[in-house]
Amino acid sequence: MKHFLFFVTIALFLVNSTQTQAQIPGYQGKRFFIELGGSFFFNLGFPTAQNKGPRSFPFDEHTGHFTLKDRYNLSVHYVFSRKNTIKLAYNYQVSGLNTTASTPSLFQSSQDFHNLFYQLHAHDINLGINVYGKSNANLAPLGFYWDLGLRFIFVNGVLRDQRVEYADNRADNRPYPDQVAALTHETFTFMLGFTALWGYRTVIADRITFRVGIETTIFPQYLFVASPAGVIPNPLSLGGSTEITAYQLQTIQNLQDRYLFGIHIGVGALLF
Amino acid sequence: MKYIYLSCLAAFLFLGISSCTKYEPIYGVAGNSSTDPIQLKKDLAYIHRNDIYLVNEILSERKKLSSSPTSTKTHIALSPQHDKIAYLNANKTPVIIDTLGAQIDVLNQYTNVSDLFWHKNNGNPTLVILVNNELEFYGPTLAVDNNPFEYAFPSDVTFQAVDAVHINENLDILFTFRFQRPFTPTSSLRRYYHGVGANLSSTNFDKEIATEDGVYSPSSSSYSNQNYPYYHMIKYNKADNNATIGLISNGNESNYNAYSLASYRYTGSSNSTGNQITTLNNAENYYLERNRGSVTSNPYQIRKYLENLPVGVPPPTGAANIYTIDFLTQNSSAPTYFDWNP
Repeated sequence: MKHFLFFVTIALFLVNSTQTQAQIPGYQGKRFFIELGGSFFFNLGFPTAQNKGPRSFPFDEHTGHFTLKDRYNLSVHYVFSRKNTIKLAYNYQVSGLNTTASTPSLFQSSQDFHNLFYQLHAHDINLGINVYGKSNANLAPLGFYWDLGLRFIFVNGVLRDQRVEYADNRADNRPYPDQVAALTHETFTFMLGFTALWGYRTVIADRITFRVGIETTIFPQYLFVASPAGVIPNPLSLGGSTEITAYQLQTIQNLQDRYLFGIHIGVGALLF
Repeated sequence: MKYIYLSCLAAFLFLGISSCTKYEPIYGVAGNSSTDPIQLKKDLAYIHRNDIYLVNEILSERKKLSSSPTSTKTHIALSPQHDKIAYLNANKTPVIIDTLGAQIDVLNQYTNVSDLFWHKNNGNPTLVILVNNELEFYGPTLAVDNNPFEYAFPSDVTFQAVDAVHINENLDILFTFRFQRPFTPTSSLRRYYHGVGANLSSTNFDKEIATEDGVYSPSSSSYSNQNYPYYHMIKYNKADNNATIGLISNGNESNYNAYSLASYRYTGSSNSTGNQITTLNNAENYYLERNRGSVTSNPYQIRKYLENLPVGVPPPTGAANIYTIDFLTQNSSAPTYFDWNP
């Protein structure tokens, strides 16, 4: 990844050096800046990482808490023309997932049923371009802008709680290691999304910027396998199999829900 | 304007901190040790709908070893080392298979075998085969009486059969038998008997009890075609150093309602039969092993009671230490054959 960043940065410098600018891009000549931000929205779909809110573990009930979806990011921008900047960002969020699975019972020729609470740690690499508003008005990186890009999300599920309904109706639902078969489903998920943000960035102090915007991200995986309409045959699937575990299905739903809509705010620093 | 910005940043900071709260598990997680499940030995074999199954100690894992439901199989026996299974095919010929279901041997020299079982024989197991009222061995020969059943039959019998046999570790031979004899020395009428005997290796006297079933005319002398009671099964019962016997009350082997269990007490000065109390109605077989437990079966169920559970196995819900296998209903069929070798 480090080499990739170098490559992108150097490539942009080279591209930019071949152009003749009527005016030096960047605010006060500053082309490179970093930002720290977050995206927030009302949480209506899945529990938080603390198992608060809707569809909480273990019984899919609402805990009664008001909860927000939150995601945090660190981004670096380079102004490569009067109206455009390129952006590389890292986003991180933890969400909760209350899902189910079945495993062979060690004591009956039947299945143990599991309620599972995962914390989904989503690491998101966001590559995008920011396009600033009117041709005769804004000057990157200030003013109204569109942020269009791709998200590469690596989701790692960490099991935090496990309620087991044993095949022989044992009263204690705790998952004793010697009484349950290991869970076998894959807990890593990769997702590729297309994202768009419309926002406004301004200067609030010397070299300090503030931005606010609304953003959305759509994941084709959700449309193919996890939409409420059911599984659509996936043209990208080599095997043609539409089999997907409850965990994978709900992880995709969870991430799509988290990324569907957000209000973004952030502060930045113009460096050089 | 700056205050608005600062308020937004404060909210941002607050949300970031609040989202770092640790989740406290309610139940916990199993961890990785579940990848090393409890190892349970497969110590029970049974026949259900003409197929052979091998199951573990708590009946949770059933391994089907054959797939020939149209080929009759009876009288299953699991070797002491749990590595071989013997049963009788449609010709009543012993077939020996391994625990994967692969055929090891077919003892075609024996047909119309009445019973078979594995004897531990001090670590050199042998398959004991009862055929034509004689004992045969697949494996080392046991040092037992050459004609162990003869004493049970009167000298004037006109029909005799040994239906079941078992030999304990002391080489006492337990067996069940039937015979018919003339009503009087010159009569053409026959008296019919079914009985149980113990040929004791450590004494010079043996024991037997024969129950008379009635007097019948020679025209119906084919014993096997009549609805006469007989003991179809006998097992040495370690728990009380006596024997468990199985009775078919009307000679109809395919009707499980005719089956019941009894005990044969022969040790010490006793020589009597008595009712056996089982946990399962109409059980075909009943094993009671000292400090082990018992197994019973009928066409609907195999039920196992363990005095001590295997290490690591938690108590089952419901009746203490009882495990069952439920079958689909089989009307008018013989109880499920099984062999338990704890």
